[in-house]
Amino acid sequence: MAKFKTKGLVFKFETASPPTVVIAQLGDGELNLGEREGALDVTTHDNSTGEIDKLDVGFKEPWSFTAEIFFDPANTGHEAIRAAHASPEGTERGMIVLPDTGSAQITGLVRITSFTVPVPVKGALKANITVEGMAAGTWTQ
Amino acid sequence: MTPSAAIVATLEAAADVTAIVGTRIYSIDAPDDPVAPYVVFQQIGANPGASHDGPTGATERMFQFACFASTAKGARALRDAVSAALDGVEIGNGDIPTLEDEREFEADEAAGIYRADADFSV
Repeated sequence: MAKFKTKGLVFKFETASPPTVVIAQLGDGELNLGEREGALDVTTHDNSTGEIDKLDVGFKEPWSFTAEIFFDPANTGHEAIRAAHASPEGTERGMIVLPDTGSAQITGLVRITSFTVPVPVKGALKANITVEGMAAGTWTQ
Repeated sequence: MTPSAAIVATLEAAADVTAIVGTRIYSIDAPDDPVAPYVVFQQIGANPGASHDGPTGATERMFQFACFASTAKGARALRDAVSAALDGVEIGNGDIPTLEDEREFEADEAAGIYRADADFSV
């Protein structure tokens, strides 16, 4: 079974399709490929199997990505994220490229739903961002 | 300027510190048969910042300051002077040390010396 390190993941963000601007100083994060809607309980009165029958309703949330960045307000990529959070144009695109040998990736229209800057007494200046897909992403492996 | 050089410069410019130790501020270890009171400091740890695209260039370092004097009261006074000179004060390389811990030790009766420590994150 192949094992891959997580270091080296790439996040790209801009209005071009596909996005090419790599966001620098990317810290820890999490990629969510989308939560599926709850299934319907379609169990009949027949309890001979002892288990509930379910039906997938066919919907799921688009993919999303949360991460911290070592924040530099003068960095053009960081500023593009902040500006998109403040005033989205509806044409922003995100891409996550995994660090596996095949560079598996997901890309699509996104919006920046959260941009927070924690300010502890010690430590580096960071920003916590949340990127949400606006539609199904395109997965390539 | 390295963090160590910046620390030395800050302590040598602190009147309350030099009033006690003069220039007896040593990095890593003191000379043989040191004259008390004196301060020895050394880096005891580091936490380099890392991102997916490489080092961030921001490393948090831990420094230990061992303050020696012929009395317990003297060791504490020296430690307090070092802490006041460094805690929350921007040093020459732009870092701002933060006091993390303080400790005191039993006397080294053979040497007739007392010790009080202060740890800083820089």
